[in-house]
Formats: sequence, C-alpha cells, structure tokens
Amino acid sequence: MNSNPAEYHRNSKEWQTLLGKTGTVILATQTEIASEALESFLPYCFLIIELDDTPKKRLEIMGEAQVLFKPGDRVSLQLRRVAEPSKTGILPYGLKACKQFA
Amino acid sequence: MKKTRVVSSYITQFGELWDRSLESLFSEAVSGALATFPQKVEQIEAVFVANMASGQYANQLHLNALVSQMLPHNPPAFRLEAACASGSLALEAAELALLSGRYKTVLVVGAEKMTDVSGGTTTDILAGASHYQAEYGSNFPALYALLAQQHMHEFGTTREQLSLVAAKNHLHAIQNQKAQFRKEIPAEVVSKSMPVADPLRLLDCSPVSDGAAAVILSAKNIGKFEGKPEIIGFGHGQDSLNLAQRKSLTQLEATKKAAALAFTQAGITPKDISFAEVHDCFTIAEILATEDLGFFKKGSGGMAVAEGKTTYGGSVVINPSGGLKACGHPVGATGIKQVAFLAELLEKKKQTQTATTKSKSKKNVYALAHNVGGSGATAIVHILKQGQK
Repeated sequence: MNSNPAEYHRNSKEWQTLLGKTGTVILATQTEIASEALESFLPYCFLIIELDDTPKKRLEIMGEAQVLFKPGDRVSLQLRRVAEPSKTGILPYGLKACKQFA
Repeated sequence: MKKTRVVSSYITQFGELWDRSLESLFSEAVSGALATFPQKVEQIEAVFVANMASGQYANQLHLNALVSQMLPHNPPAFRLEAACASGSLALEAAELALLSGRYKTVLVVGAEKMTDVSGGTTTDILAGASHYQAEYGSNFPALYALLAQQHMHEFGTTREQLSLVAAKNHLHAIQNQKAQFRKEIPAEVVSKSMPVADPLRLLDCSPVSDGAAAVILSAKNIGKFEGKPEIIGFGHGQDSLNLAQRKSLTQLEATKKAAALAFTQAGITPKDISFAEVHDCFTIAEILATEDLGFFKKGSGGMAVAEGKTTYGGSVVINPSGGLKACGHPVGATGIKQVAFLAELLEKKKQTQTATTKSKSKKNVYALAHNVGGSGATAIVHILKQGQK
C-alpha cells in the first residue's frame, strides 16, 4: 500500500473527500492474520460501514488497530498509519475507522 | 447444439509439494491427459492455460508459451485469469472456441505453485483478487467472515453447521488419493481450531496448495469419444468486485446468474444433479453455494448439512472429492480439477452402475461444477452428463 509515491499521491485525493465523515458499522470481523506489511496491527477489525451521507454509501475499511468493533458502533474516518513504512521513505498513512464514543 | 465431451483428464497430487516446480506440475498434467487421449497429439488444435499468480509466486509469466512448448507441434495457446475461477474461465473459453467451430479438440490445463512463499506473502498475493484500494486491509478469510456473519444473523446458521461442512468434506477426501488431506477431522475439532477471522477458524479455510489438472475437450462425434462425459451446459455470472457494493450479503448473485444460464442450456433442474463440486474456499462458501445453485432454499444450507443431505445417502453429494477444503486449492487448477474429477466419477459410475444416492432412479446421471473468483465477483458453473453409448 502506497509504496509508490505516485500511487500515494493519487490515494490522498480520495482521503480528502472522506476524512472526518461519520457512519455506522454494518458488519465487523476481527482478523488474526494479515500480509507482512500489516502484521504489526493485528488483531484488527475489518468493517463494512454505512456513511451518514445522503444517499447512503457503504465502504469497506480497516478499523483502528487492536480495537474491537461490532455492528451498530458509530465511527468516524481518520488518518492513521495503514502499513509498515516501506523503503521509499513514505510514511504510509490512510483512512481507518475510529470509534466515536458518546 | 454441438456436444462437447471430456475425452481425457488428469489430476496431479494436490498438497505441499516442495520438490515440484510450477513447470513440472503443468508438465505432469499435460502428459497425464495425453496418456489416455486416444488420438495423435497433433489433433489438439489449441491450449487454454489457467493460472492466477505465477508472476508473483514464481516470477514466470507467458504461460501460454510455456505450456504450448510441451506439445511437439506448438499449438496456439491462451492464458486465462479470474483469480480462483481461472480454471473454469479457461474451460469456458475452450467451450466457446469449440462451439464456434474454430477448433474441434483442445487441451485445458491449470496449475498453481503456492507453497514456496510465506503465509503472509500468500495472503498478500491472494488479496490481489479483492479490490486493491476499496478493500485495503482485507484478506479472504475476513471477507468470507463478513458473509458468514450476515448469514448467521439473518438465518440462524450456526458455528456447528460450519464445522459440519469441513468434517463432511474431510470424510469425502479419504477416498480421493489425490487429496491434500486424507484424514477425518471431527466437527468439534474444527470448532476449536485457531481463530482466523471471527467467526471463521483455521479449519474453516481451504489450504494453500500446489497442484495441476488437465482435461481434453472435443466437439468431434467419433466412435472413440462416444460414451465419454458430455458438458451439456455452462454459465458465467459477475458481480461487483468489492462486497460493499453488493445488493445482498447472504447470496452470491454471480453464482445465481451462472447457474440459471447453465441449467437453462442443460435443460435440467437442480433436483437432477447427483454430484456437485462446489467452491468451498471457506465453509460458509459451501453453504452459500448450495443455496444459490438451487439445491436448498435460501437460509437452509446449514441445516441441510446437519441433516446429512449433502453426503452419500442424501439428496445431492456435495464435494465428493473433498472440495477445496480437503482436496486442496491450487487456485489456477481448481476449476479444471472439479470438472476432471466429476468426469472421472461419472465414468466410474457408468462402469460400476452403483447407485449411491437415493431417489435417483432415472437413467441419466448429472454432475455440476461451481467455481468462484474472489469473494463472489466471478462465478462459473458447468453441468456434465454421464456419456451414453
């Protein structure tokens, strides 16, 4: 993820449209396995969330590391580290779902 | 419509084959299929090659040329890729080429060499079959775990029913000499195995495998081919690559589309099928498949396994080879292995005339192969009929 600077630049445009948006968890699974670039985040949840936008839009997204999510949880999309740094020197940040507490 | 027949087939051993290369697996499958082909090798007019990720696993691309050179006359060759459905996509392309009249006899071969890399690397490579950006951070156990959760929530499918799928397929694989795991694994052991992605556990997952399979298909209507199993229907369905765009998370729409096309072409219904190799990459995938193919009502697939309807003595034998779960899942080979296994099974049944499922008193015996790419973005179904001479 984002090991290529051009790819990282392209993806950052998508973040700007979604950063800070809120929504609700529809489905959540806690994964115990991952590719090598993601192993340090284990265990983490992988989620389907529905944004509060109109019309409704669903996204698949990583939950913040070592946090347990369940259907119905309120979340917001925040910038977090999404992989181990690569040799290119880029710090691989991207969007993750973070729990909103009442 | 023209008939096409499976006139020869071969399946290599599936498993963790450290002494075998990708090329040697392809070579064994090609040689094995040719060994029982009753005509000269030059009669094979084209080759269709299935593989998902040889570029990443073995730094070997240009597989059509690699396989074509295994035949002395270097026939034209095509490489097809649709993730775990690569094998059946190659079969479908071959069928279309035969039915178009361009070729009369073709070889279809698929292989995958997966065990030379670490588990994490394999997870990363296979994740390439999901949507790289929209499903970043996912892996296939996690995607199917989400489908399992929705099925459990809507229909009350239980953890025990998932385990019974695995236990049944391991039991079937004991009779299959080519299977990766020929060992009985009780449902309780499946339920207690290591968590992978809630609610799926390690023994809900098909293994990482090496292996290859090949079939020779022919549209020729000549004496030596009479009596060989016929492919009487096939269908292909697609859906969104990522789960979040799907209309439903309790069915694979691509499977329903593919099945509808295949059954219409074959002129039969799901009730006519005696044996089915379905894509059980995870236990929940088999439950989804048996519902979406029309064998059981939506939501009742888990109960059907628990009631013994999916094994010998039930209404349809699901995954007599052991399926992906126990026979193994070298992804590029799987779709071809399903058809090769069923063709060999129909041949054996014809020879022994042994009835193994109740309430099948009719003359024709039918079998179905169902192969899925990704988390259900691609599905391909083939229906075979026991050859009549």
